[in-house]
Amino acid sequence: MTRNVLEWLEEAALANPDAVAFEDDAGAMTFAALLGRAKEIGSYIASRAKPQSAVAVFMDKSPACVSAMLGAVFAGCFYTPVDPSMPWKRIGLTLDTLKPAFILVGEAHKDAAPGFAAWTRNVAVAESIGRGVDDTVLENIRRNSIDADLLYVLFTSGSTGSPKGVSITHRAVIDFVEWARGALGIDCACRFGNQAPLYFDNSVLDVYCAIRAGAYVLFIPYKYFSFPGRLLGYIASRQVNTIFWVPSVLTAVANSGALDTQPPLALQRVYFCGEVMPARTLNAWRKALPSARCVNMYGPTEITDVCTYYDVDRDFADGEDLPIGRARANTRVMLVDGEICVTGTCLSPGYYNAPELTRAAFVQNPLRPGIHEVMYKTGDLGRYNERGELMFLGRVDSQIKRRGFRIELGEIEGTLMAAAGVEECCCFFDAIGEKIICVYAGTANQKELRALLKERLPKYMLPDDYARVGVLPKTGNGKVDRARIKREYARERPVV
Amino acid sequence: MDETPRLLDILKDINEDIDFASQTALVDDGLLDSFDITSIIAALDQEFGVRIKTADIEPDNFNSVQAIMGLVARCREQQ
Repeated sequence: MTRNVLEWLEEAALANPDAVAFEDDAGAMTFAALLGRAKEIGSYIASRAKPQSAVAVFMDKSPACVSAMLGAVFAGCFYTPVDPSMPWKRIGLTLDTLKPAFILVGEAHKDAAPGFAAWTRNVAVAESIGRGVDDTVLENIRRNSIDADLLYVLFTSGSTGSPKGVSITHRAVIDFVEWARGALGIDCACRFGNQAPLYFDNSVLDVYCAIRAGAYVLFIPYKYFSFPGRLLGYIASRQVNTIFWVPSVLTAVANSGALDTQPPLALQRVYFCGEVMPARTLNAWRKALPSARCVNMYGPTEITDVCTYYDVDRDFADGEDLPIGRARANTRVMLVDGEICVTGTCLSPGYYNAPELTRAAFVQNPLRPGIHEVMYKTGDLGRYNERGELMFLGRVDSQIKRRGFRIELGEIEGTLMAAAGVEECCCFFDAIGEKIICVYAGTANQKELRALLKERLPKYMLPDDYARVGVLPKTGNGKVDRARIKREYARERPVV
Repeated sequence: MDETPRLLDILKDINEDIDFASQTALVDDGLLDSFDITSIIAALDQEFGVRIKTADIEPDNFNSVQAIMGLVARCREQQ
């Protein structure tokens, strides 16, 4: 039985050493090269950090970044990919929580390396790490590893004003990938066109299914996602046959009309997850690619990427809601007071270094009071349709999804409230205009707020419009009247 | 009337860190990402009243201020 994801890499490197595992515009890395490089990086880290400590990886998405992540795993550690384009202040909040024992920095960002001294002295440029491998040390680390050890911690927006780190074990990823490989038909002939950033959990499917199955992953350069025509041409030229993208990217491509002019006919698998998939988008893709298999998946980071899936087997009208389907193998999905709750091997052991947040979301399963069974409360509302398929209904709180990114409006509000010149504020999402709108009271002007937030929040979290008011409307019990603010300010564009 | 200054104002709102007037490879050098491109297309619609067609959403049309002004002019001729 597999206990550690590195066993897959070792098997793939043995079976197909010269097959390309990961590729981007700058170059390709075979399974043998990936294994070799990961062991070198692992040996280097192992001599400087203890197993089961955190390793932050500050690199652009690339084959080298994957080798750095897996290098941390060889050292018995777990990794956190940190987006180099994220504002420095938010990186700081992330590292404050993570407390990394080692930080790997990409060659392209080596100027940033000295800035990490506040968190650890163990900082290295990944590409500069030497070629030595200490097999004895690595074998010893492996012998002592168990499948409940952490593999990665991914940070996601937190409602209290700073990001929270979702920790995931080897066994959860093994459980997920073994299901995905079989159910989604992933084999060594699969050629993934990767969209998801490595700090986003959708990438776990691409990366680990490919390592498990000996498949190929192409890291599509970010810039192509602005130009649908170019994007489709690019994936066609690289014979990409499998994609696992967020619905907003699929929607942008569908809306552009590029599917009609240059359908990517080599695509056999069109998979999606991360937010609600509009039936209209699905219909456009199915029309362009009638024989492609389409699967709608659902699941938050806390349950390892996917907990339910719907293999599209019938037609939908443009305005219909798509089911999120049924639980995947070895995962139990329940509705408790209308909220989607999950138990199983897939569960995260909790938010890293955040016991209170963990206790609030990972609770005793009320349906099995006789044993200590942990259940994750997703905060998503669901219902079953007449076919017994699960349907997604919305959120219990103010979390939103924008281009697949999970955003707690509370994190934006918390950041604003910490600013001088903001007395009160309320952010809401105008889903029609796909805009985050910030209504606030205080002396700060919009330009100041824009500049302030840009230093603290990633781009996808920045409000699009601001409205300054004398005082925010309140409900009878004195709370900010969110419903009324939303009614009054949605679809209105104040001149900035 | 030269509308370049107005475009520069719009672009500055989208990303004030970029010196748009001097750049000629905004997309190719990765200065603009997909969020920026979407914002620019929306702003051209709102401020200049031009609808950018899918076929025109190409890197070459967004690499410089001159290229964007050229795109606006071509779209107006076609409208």
